[in-house]
Amino acid sequence: MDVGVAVKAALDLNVLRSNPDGSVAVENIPLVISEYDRNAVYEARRIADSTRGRVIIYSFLTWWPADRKEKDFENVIREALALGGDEAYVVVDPTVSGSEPRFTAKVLASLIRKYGSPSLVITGEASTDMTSSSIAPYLAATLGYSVVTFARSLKVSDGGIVVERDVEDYIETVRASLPAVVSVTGEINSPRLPTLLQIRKAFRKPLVKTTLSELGLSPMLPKYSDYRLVTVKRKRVILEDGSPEELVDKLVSYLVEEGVLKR
Amino acid sequence: MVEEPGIEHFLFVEDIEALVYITLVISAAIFLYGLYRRVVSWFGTFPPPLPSPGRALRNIVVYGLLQRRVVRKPSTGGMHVLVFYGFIILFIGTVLRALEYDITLRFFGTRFLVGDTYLVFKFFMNIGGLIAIIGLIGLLLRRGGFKSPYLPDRPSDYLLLITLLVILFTGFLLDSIATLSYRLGWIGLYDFIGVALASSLEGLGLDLVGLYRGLWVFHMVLAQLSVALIPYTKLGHIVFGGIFNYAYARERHPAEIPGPEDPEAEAEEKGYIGVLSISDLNWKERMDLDACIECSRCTDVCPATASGKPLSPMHLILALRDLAREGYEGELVPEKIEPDILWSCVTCGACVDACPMLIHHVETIIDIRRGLVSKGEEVPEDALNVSYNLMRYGNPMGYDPMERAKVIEELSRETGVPIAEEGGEYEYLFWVGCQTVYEPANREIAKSLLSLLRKAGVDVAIMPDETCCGEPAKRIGDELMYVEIVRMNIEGFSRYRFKKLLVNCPHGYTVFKHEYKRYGLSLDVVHHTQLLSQLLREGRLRPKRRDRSITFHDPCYLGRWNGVLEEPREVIRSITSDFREMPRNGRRSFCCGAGGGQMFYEVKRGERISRLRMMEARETGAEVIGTACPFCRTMFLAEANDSVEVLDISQLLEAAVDEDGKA
Repeated sequence: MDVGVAVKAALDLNVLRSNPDGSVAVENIPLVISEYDRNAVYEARRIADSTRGRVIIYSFLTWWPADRKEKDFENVIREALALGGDEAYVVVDPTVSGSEPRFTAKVLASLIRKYGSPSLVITGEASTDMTSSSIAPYLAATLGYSVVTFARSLKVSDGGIVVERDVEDYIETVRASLPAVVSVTGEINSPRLPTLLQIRKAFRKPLVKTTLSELGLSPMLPKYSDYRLVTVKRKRVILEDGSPEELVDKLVSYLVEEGVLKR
Repeated sequence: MVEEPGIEHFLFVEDIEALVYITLVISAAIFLYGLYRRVVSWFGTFPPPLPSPGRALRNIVVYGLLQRRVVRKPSTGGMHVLVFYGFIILFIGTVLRALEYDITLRFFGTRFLVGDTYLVFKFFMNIGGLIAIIGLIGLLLRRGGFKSPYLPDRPSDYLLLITLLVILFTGFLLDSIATLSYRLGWIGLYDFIGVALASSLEGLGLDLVGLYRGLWVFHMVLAQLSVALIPYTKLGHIVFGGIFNYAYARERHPAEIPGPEDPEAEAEEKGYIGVLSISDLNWKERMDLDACIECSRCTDVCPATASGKPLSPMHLILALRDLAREGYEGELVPEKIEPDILWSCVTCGACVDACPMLIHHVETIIDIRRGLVSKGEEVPEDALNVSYNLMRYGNPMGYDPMERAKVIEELSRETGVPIAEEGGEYEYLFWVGCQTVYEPANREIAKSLLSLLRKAGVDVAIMPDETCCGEPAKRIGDELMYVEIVRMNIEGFSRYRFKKLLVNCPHGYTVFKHEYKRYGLSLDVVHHTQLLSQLLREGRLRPKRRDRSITFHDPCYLGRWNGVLEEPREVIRSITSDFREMPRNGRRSFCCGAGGGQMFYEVKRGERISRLRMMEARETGAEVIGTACPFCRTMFLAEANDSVEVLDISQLLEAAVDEDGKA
């Protein structure tokens, strides 16, 4: 069974820089594979191996300017291929300057329909840069697939899937029919970092680039004008006076006040 | 009988003389077959390609005849010297004897071991036998109680020593019977052992002729058998090590870790780089395996072993040798060798430096690491991270590359040392290096160094567009990444005109000095301790000497690998009258634990190497631990408490110069 993976080239938070006014200098920040998409590729590889299928990578370059981001983007896709993808279909379009989840899902859905239409599409639970967690549901809705989010285990059986969902307070096991879109958490597996040699080898795997117009899509409107970092100042509260018991009580009451803990 | 001193050949055994020649042919055949098998296993062909004769001869003389490495450990090395020279003398004597009988007497009817010559000959044979016996007994006693815990201690090890002793004792017994029968009158003390034994044999009333014949056959067959078994036993080190491994010794500097000729092509062709199975080892690595004498000197000094990690260099070499000899064709790791063994290595080179047979354990370990990195399996996650970070950020820690430029600008601003410009010309180009740029505590090293150079009026500029030097990639086994980095740096260097490259990191020093030339760039590399000691000698820096107690930790990559031992000490002695050496110093220094990429990953077994070294440093009672490597400094800072300071040589010197307000 072929398995599709929607991969995002996210802003590298390790080197995130903002201008003095708080706006993010998007054009200068390198791209990196979105953390949980590694898990998605790894999981897809495992399923494809046990069902003799291919792993197809889909991606849409949402960060701009496309000409300056294209090399980074390609590296991200090569990395996904090195992690276990067999082939990749991507959209790189100079007219794009940012995207919101519904549009991204529409672009990915067009790619998926045009190239391979796998009946199972996996993606990370959220992107590391924007963290909307909404691509999987939008994508499923656009494709007309069923959707299961936050999977911490995934099994294919009898033409359907059995998924353990991590919903924080408890884990629920759901069964869904195929075709489906599944978003996975970081707990589902532990992907290895690809080595340079594996990435070099991935250069032999097909990577097909296309544009919005070739997919029959028009650019998203309105465009984003800028992104801003919201900085939260530390409150720097230091509890010093009192016995350990009193300090703990004080700390707990502070945390309750801040809404971190629930009584 | 003979009128003047000389040999009575085949006394009492003329009728069975042919036995010597028969056993000789058999033992020679067994010996040569064993040798042939090994040579073919290294080179794949026979006869093997010849080494360069001058170098081969020099190595055999220096390391073999002069036993240079062997005597580094005076106790057991001394005993080995006695056995070695004893048997050399006996071997030469036996050959001379055979020459007289089988050549000069047989074909020309003349003897040369006669008269005074014979007496001298006899005396030397006594000495040879005696010192060999003393050495062997010493070695047996060592096994009785004074041996390293890592020394293999099997019955066969004793059997070997005892066999050699039996050969020597029976030789002396034969000698004494012969002396008794025809030379007691004139031999005197030239045969002091023979005469002494003869006098005690005389009164026993034995059938001396019968005894002689029996002993003769026993002695001769045992000696021939021992020679025949050389290639099959520990004695193999005589030929595989003492002749082959010396003659074919690596010509490059030991600090230069070689890599595949063309890693890209190798990756293309085999699908991986380095060593996955025995057949991937190169001929030199395979020869190394057979050269091992199992003396455990490598393991005795290995910081991984000492800290309870699974690596023991000797046992790794022996495990590989066993696999090679049994013809094992599968993958080595993890099937036969536990991955942690390879990842425990800090590449400190203590094993390489200690090995009397010139084995390069580190080269083999890195070659196997390359195989693992190629597969991306059995590699510590954090080590893979190093490669990944290098790929993305140009430094092994994954820090922001923009940060580097900022730090370099700051350094320039604070010290007044310019940043190198294209087109400018400088005496020294200073490469700051990742461990100094990114570790705030270590930036002080660069700051102190540059201030000192500024004060001394040195023409220096800071290299602005540096990345990783490649050392971590190389040591971790990511050859592709390493080559990519080297090429990039060579291009970077080409933009600047400078005479010497100045570094404060011995790891960068090593790769720039020894490993970049393979890619076409010969650099004159200077470590900052070298430059600082030179400035002191020239009187361009005049520190004030005080009595603060300082000890010095020799970084492996500076001291042992590169022999820079005196320079940092010169600097320390110039600033303190209380310099305290640690027990393990100089070439015998003990690693800080950060080498071989272990700054970035950890084999969490046993103790931390850095802790062991820190305890050693503390025991000197010194207030300051001097370092000359940012890796070492970081490790010690992590172990230090308030009672001891960890400072680089440049920081120490700057403090001493500042107070004085300079000369």
